[in-house]
Amino acid sequence: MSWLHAMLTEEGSTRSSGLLRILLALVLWTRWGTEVAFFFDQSPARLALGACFYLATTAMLLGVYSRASTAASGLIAMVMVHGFGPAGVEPWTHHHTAYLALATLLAALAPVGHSYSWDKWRAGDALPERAPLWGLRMVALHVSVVYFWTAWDKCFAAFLSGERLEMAFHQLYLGSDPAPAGFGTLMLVGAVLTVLVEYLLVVALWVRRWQWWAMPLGLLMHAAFFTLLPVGTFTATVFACYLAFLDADAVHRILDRVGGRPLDAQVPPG
Amino acid sequence: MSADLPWPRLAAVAAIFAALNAGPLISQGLGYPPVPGLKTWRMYRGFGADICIARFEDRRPDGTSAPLDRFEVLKTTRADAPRYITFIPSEAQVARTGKTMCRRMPGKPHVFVDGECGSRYHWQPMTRLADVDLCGLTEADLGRIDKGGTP
Repeated sequence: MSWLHAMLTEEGSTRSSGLLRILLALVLWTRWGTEVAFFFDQSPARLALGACFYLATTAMLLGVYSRASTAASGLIAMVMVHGFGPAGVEPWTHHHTAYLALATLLAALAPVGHSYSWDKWRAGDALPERAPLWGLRMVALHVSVVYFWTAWDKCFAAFLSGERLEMAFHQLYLGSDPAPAGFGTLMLVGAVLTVLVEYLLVVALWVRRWQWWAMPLGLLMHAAFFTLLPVGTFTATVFACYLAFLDADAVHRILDRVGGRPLDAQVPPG
Repeated sequence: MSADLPWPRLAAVAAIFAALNAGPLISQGLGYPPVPGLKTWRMYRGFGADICIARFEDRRPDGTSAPLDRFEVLKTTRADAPRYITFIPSEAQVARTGKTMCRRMPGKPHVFVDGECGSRYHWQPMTRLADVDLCGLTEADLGRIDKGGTP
Protein backbone atom coordinates (compact mmCIF):
# COMPACT_ATOMS: atom_id res chain seq x y z
CA MET A 1 0.00 0.00 0.00
CA SER A 2 3.01 2.27 -0.35
CA TRP A 3 1.45 3.88 -3.45
CA LEU A 4 -1.60 4.84 -1.39
CA HIS A 5 0.56 6.28 1.36
CA ALA A 6 2.59 8.15 -1.24
CA MET A 7 -0.52 9.58 -2.89
CA LEU A 8 -2.00 10.72 0.40
CA THR A 9 1.18 12.31 1.72
CA GLU A 10 2.77 13.58 -1.50
CA GLU A 11 3.83 17.21 -1.50
CA GLY A 12 5.00 19.11 -4.52
CA SER A 13 4.85 22.20 -6.64
CA THR A 14 1.46 23.88 -6.86
CA ARG A 15 1.93 25.28 -10.35
CA SER A 16 0.05 22.37 -12.00
CA SER A 17 -2.87 23.12 -9.72
CA GLY A 18 -2.73 26.83 -10.52
CA LEU A 19 -2.67 26.14 -14.23
CA LEU A 20 -5.53 23.67 -13.88
CA ARG A 21 -7.61 26.35 -12.11
CA ILE A 22 -7.01 28.87 -14.89
CA LEU A 23 -7.68 26.38 -17.70
CA LEU A 24 -10.90 25.08 -16.14
CA ALA A 25 -12.17 28.64 -15.64
CA LEU A 26 -11.56 29.34 -19.32
CA VAL A 27 -13.31 26.12 -20.34
CA LEU A 28 -16.27 27.09 -18.10
CA TRP A 29 -16.51 30.43 -19.91
CA THR A 30 -16.18 28.74 -23.30
CA ARG A 31 -18.96 26.25 -22.56
CA TRP A 32 -21.41 28.40 -20.65
CA GLY A 33 -20.31 32.01 -21.02
CA THR A 34 -22.81 32.90 -23.72
CA GLU A 35 -25.72 30.93 -22.32
CA VAL A 36 -25.55 32.56 -18.87
CA ALA A 37 -24.84 36.07 -20.20
CA PHE A 38 -27.55 38.55 -19.27
CA PHE A 39 -28.81 39.11 -22.82
CA PHE A 40 -29.52 35.40 -23.33
CA ASP A 41 -32.40 34.88 -20.89
CA GLN A 42 -33.81 37.54 -18.60
CA SER A 43 -35.83 35.34 -16.26
CA PRO A 44 -34.97 36.07 -12.59
CA ALA A 45 -33.46 32.61 -12.08
CA ARG A 46 -31.21 32.91 -15.14
CA LEU A 47 -30.14 36.47 -14.27
CA ALA A 48 -29.20 35.31 -10.78
CA LEU A 49 -27.40 32.30 -12.22
CA GLY A 50 -25.47 34.52 -14.63
CA ALA A 51 -24.40 36.88 -11.85
CA CYS A 52 -23.25 34.01 -9.61
CA PHE A 53 -21.51 32.23 -12.48
CA TYR A 54 -19.51 35.25 -13.61
CA LEU A 55 -18.65 36.32 -10.06
CA ALA A 56 -17.38 32.87 -9.10
CA THR A 57 -15.59 32.03 -12.34
CA THR A 58 -13.92 35.44 -12.62
CA ALA A 59 -12.58 35.05 -9.07
CA MET A 60 -11.51 31.52 -9.99
CA LEU A 61 -9.67 32.68 -13.09
CA LEU A 62 -7.84 35.45 -11.24
CA GLY A 63 -7.19 33.31 -8.18
CA VAL A 64 -9.12 35.45 -5.72
CA TYR A 65 -9.91 33.26 -2.72
CA SER A 66 -8.96 30.52 -5.12
CA ARG A 67 -10.21 27.42 -3.35
CA ALA A 68 -13.50 29.01 -2.37
CA SER A 69 -14.10 30.50 -5.81
CA THR A 70 -13.20 27.20 -7.52
CA ALA A 71 -15.54 25.31 -5.19
CA ALA A 72 -18.27 27.90 -5.83
CA SER A 73 -17.77 27.63 -9.60
CA GLY A 74 -17.98 23.85 -9.36
CA LEU A 75 -21.12 23.97 -7.22
CA ILE A 76 -22.79 26.45 -9.57
CA ALA A 77 -21.91 24.21 -12.53
CA MET A 78 -23.36 21.21 -10.66
CA VAL A 79 -26.59 23.15 -10.07
CA MET A 80 -26.69 23.93 -13.79
CA VAL A 81 -26.19 20.26 -14.73
CA HIS A 82 -28.43 18.64 -12.10
CA GLY A 83 -30.90 21.48 -11.49
CA PHE A 84 -31.39 23.67 -14.56
CA GLY A 85 -30.64 20.76 -16.89
CA PRO A 86 -33.45 18.38 -15.86
CA ALA A 87 -35.74 21.41 -15.47
CA GLY A 88 -35.59 22.07 -19.19
CA VAL A 89 -32.11 23.09 -20.33
CA GLU A 90 -31.37 19.67 -21.79
CA PRO A 91 -27.93 20.42 -23.30
CA TRP A 92 -26.63 21.20 -19.81
CA THR A 93 -27.19 17.57 -18.78
CA HIS A 94 -24.78 16.24 -21.38
CA HIS A 95 -21.70 14.29 -20.41
CA HIS A 96 -19.18 16.96 -21.34
CA THR A 97 -20.95 19.47 -19.08
CA ALA A 98 -21.38 17.00 -16.21
CA TYR A 99 -17.71 16.11 -16.49
CA LEU A 100 -16.65 19.77 -16.50
CA ALA A 101 -18.77 20.57 -13.44
CA LEU A 102 -17.40 17.70 -11.38
CA ALA A 103 -13.81 18.29 -12.50
CA THR A 104 -14.11 21.90 -11.32
CA LEU A 105 -15.56 20.84 -7.98
CA LEU A 106 -12.75 18.30 -7.46
CA ALA A 107 -10.13 20.88 -8.46
CA ALA A 108 -11.13 22.85 -5.36
CA LEU A 109 -9.45 20.07 -3.32
CA ALA A 110 -6.11 20.87 -4.99
CA PRO A 111 -3.87 23.75 -3.86
CA VAL A 112 -5.16 25.91 -6.70
CA GLY A 113 -4.36 29.27 -5.12
CA HIS A 114 -0.67 28.83 -4.32
CA SER A 115 0.50 29.70 -7.85
CA TYR A 116 -0.53 32.14 -10.56
CA SER A 117 -3.13 33.81 -8.37
CA TRP A 118 -4.10 37.02 -6.66
CA ASP A 119 -3.91 35.01 -3.43
CA LYS A 120 -0.22 34.30 -4.05
CA TRP A 121 0.52 37.89 -5.16
CA ARG A 122 -1.08 39.20 -1.97
CA ALA A 123 0.46 36.68 0.44
CA GLY A 124 3.94 36.41 -1.11
CA ASP A 125 6.22 33.93 0.62
CA ALA A 126 3.58 33.25 3.26
CA LEU A 127 1.87 31.08 0.65
CA PRO A 128 4.58 28.67 -0.53
CA GLU A 129 4.43 27.05 -3.96
CA ARG A 130 4.57 23.64 -2.32
CA ALA A 131 1.60 21.85 -0.82
CA PRO A 132 -0.05 18.42 -0.44
CA LEU A 133 -1.23 17.16 -3.82
CA TRP A 134 -3.78 14.48 -2.93
CA GLY A 135 -6.59 16.79 -4.02
CA LEU A 136 -4.99 17.25 -7.44
CA ARG A 137 -4.86 13.47 -7.80
CA MET A 138 -8.63 13.33 -7.26
CA VAL A 139 -9.01 15.22 -10.55
CA ALA A 140 -6.88 12.49 -12.15
CA LEU A 141 -8.95 9.79 -10.46
CA HIS A 142 -12.05 11.31 -12.04
CA VAL A 143 -10.46 10.99 -15.51
CA SER A 144 -9.66 7.33 -14.87
CA VAL A 145 -13.16 6.57 -13.60
CA VAL A 146 -14.67 8.12 -16.74
CA TYR A 147 -12.31 6.15 -18.99
CA PHE A 148 -13.13 2.89 -17.23
CA TRP A 149 -16.90 3.24 -17.37
CA THR A 150 -17.01 4.58 -20.92
CA ALA A 151 -14.89 1.62 -22.04
CA TRP A 152 -17.13 -0.72 -20.02
CA ASP A 153 -20.19 0.79 -21.71
CA LYS A 154 -18.76 0.09 -25.16
CA CYS A 155 -18.20 -3.61 -24.48
CA PHE A 156 -21.19 -4.96 -26.36
CA ALA A 157 -21.36 -6.68 -29.73
CA ALA A 158 -22.89 -3.79 -31.70
CA PHE A 159 -20.09 -1.40 -30.68
CA LEU A 160 -17.17 -3.83 -30.88
CA SER A 161 -18.28 -4.95 -34.36
CA GLY A 162 -17.96 -1.34 -35.50
CA GLU A 163 -21.68 -0.96 -36.29
CA ARG A 164 -22.33 1.77 -33.73
CA LEU A 165 -19.38 3.78 -35.06
CA GLU A 166 -20.66 3.24 -38.61
CA MET A 167 -24.00 4.74 -37.57
CA ALA A 168 -22.29 7.75 -36.01
CA PHE A 169 -20.29 8.38 -39.18
CA HIS A 170 -23.39 7.96 -41.37
CA GLN A 171 -25.23 10.40 -39.10
CA LEU A 172 -22.45 12.97 -39.38
CA TYR A 173 -20.80 12.46 -42.76
CA LEU A 174 -22.09 9.81 -45.16
CA GLY A 175 -25.78 10.38 -44.68
CA SER A 176 -28.00 7.67 -46.20
CA ASP A 177 -25.54 6.75 -48.94
CA PRO A 178 -23.97 3.29 -48.81
CA ALA A 179 -20.49 3.36 -47.30
CA PRO A 180 -17.38 2.96 -49.46
CA ALA A 181 -15.55 -0.37 -49.54
CA GLY A 182 -13.44 -1.04 -46.47
CA PHE A 183 -15.40 1.36 -44.31
CA GLY A 184 -16.80 -1.44 -42.14
CA THR A 185 -13.32 -2.80 -41.45
CA LEU A 186 -12.06 0.69 -40.61
CA MET A 187 -14.92 1.17 -38.13
CA LEU A 188 -14.31 -2.25 -36.57
CA VAL A 189 -10.65 -1.43 -36.02
CA GLY A 190 -11.57 2.04 -34.71
CA ALA A 191 -14.10 0.61 -32.26
CA VAL A 192 -11.79 -2.04 -30.85
CA LEU A 193 -8.88 0.42 -30.61
CA THR A 194 -11.04 2.98 -28.80
CA VAL A 195 -12.06 0.48 -26.13
CA LEU A 196 -8.51 -0.88 -25.75
CA VAL A 197 -6.99 2.60 -25.45
CA GLU A 198 -9.61 3.72 -22.92
CA TYR A 199 -9.01 0.66 -20.72
CA LEU A 200 -5.26 1.08 -21.09
CA LEU A 201 -5.35 4.74 -20.08
CA VAL A 202 -7.21 3.92 -16.86
CA VAL A 203 -3.90 2.54 -15.56
CA ALA A 204 -1.19 3.84 -17.88
CA LEU A 205 -1.64 7.53 -17.10
CA TRP A 206 -0.80 6.86 -13.44
CA VAL A 207 2.52 5.16 -14.18
CA ARG A 208 5.18 7.84 -14.52
CA ARG A 209 7.51 5.79 -16.71
CA TRP A 210 4.63 5.09 -19.11
CA GLN A 211 3.39 8.66 -19.36
CA TRP A 212 5.74 9.53 -22.24
CA TRP A 213 3.60 7.34 -24.53
CA ALA A 214 0.30 7.12 -22.63
CA MET A 215 -0.25 10.86 -22.50
CA PRO A 216 0.31 11.53 -26.23
CA LEU A 217 -1.91 8.52 -26.96
CA GLY A 218 -4.70 9.99 -24.85
CA LEU A 219 -4.22 13.45 -26.32
CA LEU A 220 -4.34 11.99 -29.83
CA MET A 221 -7.52 10.05 -29.06
CA HIS A 222 -9.25 13.14 -27.69
CA ALA A 223 -8.02 15.27 -30.59
CA ALA A 224 -9.62 12.70 -32.91
CA PHE A 225 -12.87 12.85 -30.92
CA PHE A 226 -12.80 16.66 -31.07
CA THR A 227 -12.28 16.89 -34.81
CA LEU A 228 -14.54 13.99 -35.82
CA LEU A 229 -17.43 14.05 -33.35
CA PRO A 230 -19.52 16.77 -31.67
CA VAL A 231 -17.96 16.41 -28.21
CA GLY A 232 -18.09 20.07 -27.23
CA THR A 233 -15.65 21.11 -24.53
CA PHE A 234 -15.00 17.54 -23.38
CA THR A 235 -11.61 17.39 -25.09
CA ALA A 236 -10.45 20.72 -23.67
CA THR A 237 -11.54 19.70 -20.16
CA VAL A 238 -9.71 16.38 -20.35
CA PHE A 239 -6.59 18.06 -21.74
CA ALA A 240 -6.59 20.40 -18.72
CA CYS A 241 -7.18 17.51 -16.32
CA TYR A 242 -4.19 15.58 -17.70
CA LEU A 243 -2.09 18.06 -15.69
CA ALA A 244 -3.29 16.22 -12.59
CA PHE A 245 -1.40 13.05 -13.60
CA LEU A 246 1.95 14.72 -14.14
CA ASP A 247 4.84 15.00 -11.70
CA ALA A 248 4.09 18.45 -10.32
CA ASP A 249 7.77 19.24 -9.76
CA ALA A 250 8.58 18.30 -13.35
CA VAL A 251 5.88 20.69 -14.54
CA HIS A 252 7.42 23.38 -12.33
CA ARG A 253 10.87 22.80 -13.77
CA ILE A 254 9.56 22.86 -17.34
CA LEU A 255 7.75 26.15 -16.69
CA ASP A 256 10.96 27.63 -15.27
CA ARG A 257 12.87 26.45 -18.32
CA VAL A 258 10.26 27.70 -20.78
CA GLY A 259 10.09 31.03 -18.96
CA GLY A 260 13.88 31.38 -19.08
CA ARG A 261 14.09 31.62 -15.31
CA PRO A 262 16.74 29.99 -13.12
CA LEU A 263 15.55 26.71 -11.67
CA ASP A 264 13.65 27.16 -8.41
CA ALA A 265 15.80 25.98 -5.50
CA GLN A 266 12.69 24.71 -3.70
CA VAL A 267 12.04 22.17 -6.41
CA PRO A 268 14.04 18.93 -6.37
CA PRO A 269 16.08 18.38 -9.55
CA GLY A 270 14.55 15.90 -11.99
CA MET B 1 -1.99 -0.47 7.29
CA SER B 2 0.60 1.98 8.44
CA ALA B 3 -0.12 3.92 11.62
CA ASP B 4 1.15 7.12 10.00
CA LEU B 5 -1.45 6.96 7.23
CA PRO B 6 -3.40 10.25 7.14
CA TRP B 7 -6.78 8.75 7.96
CA PRO B 8 -8.95 11.83 7.30
CA ARG B 9 -7.46 12.11 3.80
CA LEU B 10 -7.90 8.38 3.25
CA ALA B 11 -11.56 8.68 4.27
CA ALA B 12 -12.01 11.62 1.89
CA VAL B 13 -10.39 9.73 -1.00
CA ALA B 14 -12.49 6.63 -0.29
CA ALA B 15 -15.67 8.73 -0.21
CA ILE B 16 -14.77 10.45 -3.49
CA PHE B 17 -13.93 7.11 -5.12
CA ALA B 18 -17.26 5.68 -3.98
CA ALA B 19 -19.20 8.76 -5.13
CA LEU B 20 -17.57 8.78 -8.57
CA ASN B 21 -18.29 5.08 -9.11
CA ALA B 22 -21.71 4.75 -7.49
CA GLY B 23 -23.76 5.95 -10.47
CA PRO B 24 -22.03 3.88 -13.14
CA LEU B 25 -21.74 0.82 -10.88
CA ILE B 26 -25.46 0.79 -10.08
CA SER B 27 -26.67 1.48 -13.60
CA GLN B 28 -23.97 0.21 -15.95
CA GLY B 29 -22.37 -2.48 -13.80
CA LEU B 30 -25.36 -3.97 -12.03
CA GLY B 31 -28.06 -3.04 -14.52
CA TYR B 32 -30.39 -1.13 -12.17
CA PRO B 33 -32.19 2.03 -13.40
CA PRO B 34 -30.07 5.19 -13.16
CA VAL B 35 -30.29 7.03 -9.85
CA PRO B 36 -31.19 10.72 -10.28
CA GLY B 37 -28.19 12.90 -9.45
CA LEU B 38 -25.67 10.08 -9.93
CA LYS B 39 -24.03 10.40 -13.33
CA THR B 40 -23.50 7.41 -15.58
CA TRP B 41 -20.98 7.37 -18.40
CA ARG B 42 -23.00 6.12 -21.36
CA MET B 43 -21.66 8.38 -24.06
CA TYR B 44 -23.11 8.40 -27.59
CA ARG B 45 -25.35 5.41 -26.76
CA GLY B 46 -28.20 6.74 -28.88
CA PHE B 47 -26.18 8.71 -31.42
CA GLY B 48 -26.61 7.45 -34.98
CA ALA B 49 -29.90 5.73 -34.25
CA ASP B 50 -31.71 8.20 -36.52
CA ILE B 51 -30.11 7.38 -39.83
CA CYS B 52 -31.02 4.90 -42.56
CA ILE B 53 -28.91 3.65 -45.45
CA ALA B 54 -31.08 3.38 -48.53
CA ARG B 55 -30.26 1.71 -51.86
CA PHE B 56 -33.02 2.54 -54.32
CA GLU B 57 -33.46 0.62 -57.54
CA ASP B 58 -35.75 0.70 -60.54
CA ARG B 59 -37.08 -2.77 -61.36
CA ARG B 60 -38.15 -3.11 -64.97
CA PRO B 61 -40.84 -5.47 -66.33
CA ASP B 62 -38.16 -7.58 -68.07
CA GLY B 63 -36.78 -8.53 -64.68
CA THR B 64 -33.69 -6.34 -64.80
CA SER B 65 -33.02 -3.58 -62.33
CA ALA B 66 -30.89 -0.45 -62.20
CA PRO B 67 -29.66 1.40 -59.15
CA LEU B 68 -31.10 4.88 -58.69
CA ASP B 69 -29.26 7.94 -57.45
CA ARG B 70 -31.89 9.78 -55.39
CA PHE B 71 -30.20 13.16 -55.91
CA GLU B 72 -30.12 12.70 -59.68
CA VAL B 73 -33.76 11.59 -59.82
CA LEU B 74 -34.86 14.51 -57.63
CA LYS B 75 -32.77 16.90 -59.76
CA THR B 76 -30.71 18.17 -56.88
CA THR B 77 -27.25 17.63 -55.45
CA ARG B 78 -26.06 16.24 -52.17
CA ALA B 79 -25.06 19.75 -51.10
CA ASP B 80 -28.37 21.38 -52.06
CA ALA B 81 -30.86 18.67 -51.08
CA PRO B 82 -32.90 19.06 -47.89
CA ARG B 83 -31.35 17.33 -44.90
CA TYR B 84 -34.16 14.73 -44.75
CA ILE B 85 -33.14 13.57 -48.25
CA THR B 86 -29.39 13.47 -47.58
CA PHE B 87 -29.67 12.09 -44.04
CA ILE B 88 -32.87 10.03 -44.20
CA PRO B 89 -33.84 9.54 -40.56
CA SER B 90 -36.41 6.73 -40.67
CA GLU B 91 -37.97 3.95 -42.69
CA ALA B 92 -41.07 6.13 -43.11
CA GLN B 93 -38.98 8.93 -44.64
CA VAL B 94 -37.28 6.37 -46.92
CA ALA B 95 -40.74 5.43 -48.20
CA ARG B 96 -41.68 9.09 -48.74
CA THR B 97 -38.41 9.77 -50.54
CA GLY B 98 -39.01 6.77 -52.81
CA LYS B 99 -42.55 7.91 -53.53
CA THR B 100 -41.30 11.39 -54.44
CA MET B 101 -38.74 9.81 -56.76
CA CYS B 102 -41.52 7.83 -58.47
CA ARG B 103 -43.38 11.08 -59.22
CA ARG B 104 -40.29 12.60 -60.84
CA MET B 105 -39.48 9.61 -63.01
CA PRO B 106 -40.90 9.24 -66.54
CA GLY B 107 -43.27 6.42 -67.48
CA LYS B 108 -44.46 3.93 -64.94
CA PRO B 109 -41.45 3.18 -62.75
CA HIS B 110 -41.26 0.51 -60.07
CA VAL B 111 -38.96 1.75 -57.32
CA PHE B 112 -37.84 -0.65 -54.63
CA VAL B 113 -35.48 -0.03 -51.74
CA ASP B 114 -33.09 -2.13 -49.75
CA GLY B 115 -31.21 -0.95 -46.73
CA GLU B 116 -31.01 -0.70 -42.98
CA CYS B 117 -31.67 1.79 -40.23
CA GLY B 118 -29.60 2.66 -37.18
CA SER B 119 -30.58 1.72 -33.64
CA ARG B 120 -28.96 1.72 -30.21
CA TYR B 121 -27.58 -1.71 -31.08
CA HIS B 122 -27.17 -3.38 -34.50
CA TRP B 123 -28.30 -2.12 -37.91
CA GLN B 124 -31.97 -3.03 -38.42
CA PRO B 125 -32.96 -4.20 -41.94
CA MET B 126 -35.84 -2.24 -43.47
CA THR B 127 -38.22 -5.20 -43.30
CA ARG B 128 -41.40 -3.13 -43.67
CA LEU B 129 -40.33 -1.96 -47.12
CA ALA B 130 -38.88 -5.26 -48.30
CA ASP B 131 -40.21 -6.06 -51.80
CA VAL B 132 -42.61 -3.13 -51.68
CA ASP B 133 -43.05 -1.10 -54.86
CA LEU B 134 -42.76 2.39 -53.43
CA CYS B 135 -44.54 3.80 -56.49
CA GLY B 136 -47.63 1.84 -55.54
CA LEU B 137 -47.87 3.33 -52.06
CA THR B 138 -50.90 5.47 -51.35
CA GLU B 139 -51.08 8.33 -48.84
CA ALA B 140 -52.90 5.91 -46.52
CA ASP B 141 -49.99 3.44 -46.83
CA LEU B 142 -47.49 6.19 -46.06
CA GLY B 143 -49.56 7.22 -43.04
CA ARG B 144 -49.49 3.65 -41.73
CA ILE B 145 -45.71 3.48 -42.20
CA ASP B 146 -45.36 6.83 -40.38
CA LYS B 147 -47.15 5.26 -37.43
CA GLY B 148 -44.83 2.24 -37.40
CA GLY B 149 -47.10 -0.10 -39.36
CA THR B 150 -46.71 -1.86 -42.67
CA PRO B 151 -48.10 -0.53 -45.97
